[in-house]
Amino acid sequence: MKIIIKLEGYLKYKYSSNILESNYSKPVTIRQVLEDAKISSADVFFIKVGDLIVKEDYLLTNSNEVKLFPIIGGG
Amino acid sequence: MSYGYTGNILDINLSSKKHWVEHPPEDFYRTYWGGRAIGLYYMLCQMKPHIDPLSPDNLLIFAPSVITGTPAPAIPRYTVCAKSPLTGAQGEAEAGGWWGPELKKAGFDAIVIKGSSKIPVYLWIKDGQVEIKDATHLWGKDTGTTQKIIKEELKDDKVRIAQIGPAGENLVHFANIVNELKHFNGRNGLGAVMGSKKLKAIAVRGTKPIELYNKERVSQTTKEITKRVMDNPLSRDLRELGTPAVVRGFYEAGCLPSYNWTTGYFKEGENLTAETYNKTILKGTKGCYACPIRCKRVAEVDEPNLKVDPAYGGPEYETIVSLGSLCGISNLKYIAKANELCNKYTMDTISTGMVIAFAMQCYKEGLLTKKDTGGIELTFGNKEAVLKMIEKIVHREGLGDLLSQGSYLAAQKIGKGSKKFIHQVKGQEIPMHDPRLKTGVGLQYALSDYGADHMKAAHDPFFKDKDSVGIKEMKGLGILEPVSHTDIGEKKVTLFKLLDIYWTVFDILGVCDFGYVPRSVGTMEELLEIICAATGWRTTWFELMQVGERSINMARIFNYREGFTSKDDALPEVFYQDFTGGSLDGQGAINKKDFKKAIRLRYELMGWNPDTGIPTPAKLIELGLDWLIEEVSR
Repeated sequence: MKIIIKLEGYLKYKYSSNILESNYSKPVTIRQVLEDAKISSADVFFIKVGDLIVKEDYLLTNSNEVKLFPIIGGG
Repeated sequence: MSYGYTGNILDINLSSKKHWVEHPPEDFYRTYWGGRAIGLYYMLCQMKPHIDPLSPDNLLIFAPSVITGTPAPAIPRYTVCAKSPLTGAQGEAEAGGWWGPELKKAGFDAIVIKGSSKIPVYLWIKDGQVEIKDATHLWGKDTGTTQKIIKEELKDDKVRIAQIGPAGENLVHFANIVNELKHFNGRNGLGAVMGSKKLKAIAVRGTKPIELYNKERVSQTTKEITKRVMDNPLSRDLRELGTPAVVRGFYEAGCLPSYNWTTGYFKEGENLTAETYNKTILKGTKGCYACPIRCKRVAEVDEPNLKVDPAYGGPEYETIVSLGSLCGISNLKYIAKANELCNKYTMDTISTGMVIAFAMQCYKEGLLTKKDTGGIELTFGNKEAVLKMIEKIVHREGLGDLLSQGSYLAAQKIGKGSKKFIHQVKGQEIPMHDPRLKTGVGLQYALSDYGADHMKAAHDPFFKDKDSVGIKEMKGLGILEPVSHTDIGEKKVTLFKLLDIYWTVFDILGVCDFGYVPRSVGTMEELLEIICAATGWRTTWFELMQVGERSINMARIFNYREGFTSKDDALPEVFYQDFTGGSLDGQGAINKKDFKKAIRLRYELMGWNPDTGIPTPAKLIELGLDWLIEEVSR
């Protein structure tokens, strides 16, 4: 299954791309996907799969787009 | 010989038209340093309790800090203090821009203004010389026109001008003060205090450099931070997308304040994102004194029926939401117009959006009618109605007069249960960050001595993970463990006690949070290096944290003697309810009991009475505030 990671905000500068793709042969947690893509969870505030806000332990069982939103401060 | 500071504090009595200069000793500067700490010192020493904030008895203090005006990056800010007409509490607001550094170069560390003039005046301060000038011809004029006339009169285009527009003159309770047309002392209604003194503007010009203890060390540290700032992804994001970048995350998560906080789901959120902004209204970006980031937006609209002048900047995140989704508006061009009107009239965009959204909800619920609104169809989403209401508030016409006093007083006068539609702390309308997802921000809203403010501490997400920048870079304060952004337990309370004090140090020193950790790359050690090199003082973070804590206690005492109690340290009820609509529907409510427990623990950690929140005599002695013990012993 194909997992597309969409990086929002400053994440696209930090990880030099706004889209990352990876393929998995079996269900995988978002935590694992982040680890494989070398994305620090410290940079991620919200994770969105479809219309759902999910946590890193969310299990991806089908091809999916995972949106990552950066930490948000004041200003 | 003093370094970093001038040793001169300018006192002006507008009633008698007299002015004089104080020369406080070094110990004074080493105790109070600048900003709100200096402001509160004068307010506690010279202001009687329970004065009318719009009377000549109020003080109005403009204070940069002992390091303002150095070439170090992201330290351009200065504070204005007074008793707030919006809250009745200690009032303060910080602004970036260029005015603070220019005041230092003109020879002063602060200006303390007393009394009020019978006729409109402006101050002209150049290289230590002070003149009170007639401003009758400027009264009633917007800020762009006023700035142009003053610069022509003084025959100097490099003059920096802090001023009020008609909202300040008309004593709108949330009028603000602007410098260079786009940098605001935004909150607490301090523009109305300036208006009550008939003080239209303060023009400053300095041609002398600020003496630094070790200029080379300041320059070296500046170069190192600047290089990293330029390479930093967060700084790049601020430069390219600015604060509007925040919209997307909140909109997609379903926590974008909308329709007067009745939901976090805003269907047309895409129209408000930074990407849409850049494609439709962005003309360019601007920066503050000695700042390489250039985060400020400049917007322009040039259509036959809608024009937005870029001279007044552009809407930032708070404004996009408060005058946008909060009022059901999804048209960025109209939001930019509303922002321009608020800016040229000097009216806080957060409170303006909040009072209009409140009125819209009252209209929806039938508590206000078309007769009350003067014929305006005040429905959510009516963008023309927002522009009309801004004009009515500024000129205090009809319903606008009621709303000009802030939502808290307006709800009292409207009655009919309208109080449940206002969202405020100590009378100040809440900003556009939802504490249900950042509980530390909620603690800061509730405990802030000047009413709800999103700039009262770094936000929770910077401390959520062991690799978070706040955990990696702030161990020097004893911040070692990550805490979830929704936690409201002991670890969160302890963390935010430290962050409150740390942020207060930023406010006192005029440091912008976009330049230093945890929001950016300048380290705590580098900031210390800048301070030592600028002043020659071998200071430590221990000393700086005491300076911050001292001013927090001073503010607490100011508010106590004005009648504020622990009941005023509370969150609006809406945050004890779950989100409705969007991805977070049915989740998020803060547990009220846990929150109250957190407030009580915070009192104890601060050395305050856990029941009343009043500083204990021992705490005051520890901070060198024994001269205030009498205030808490009454």
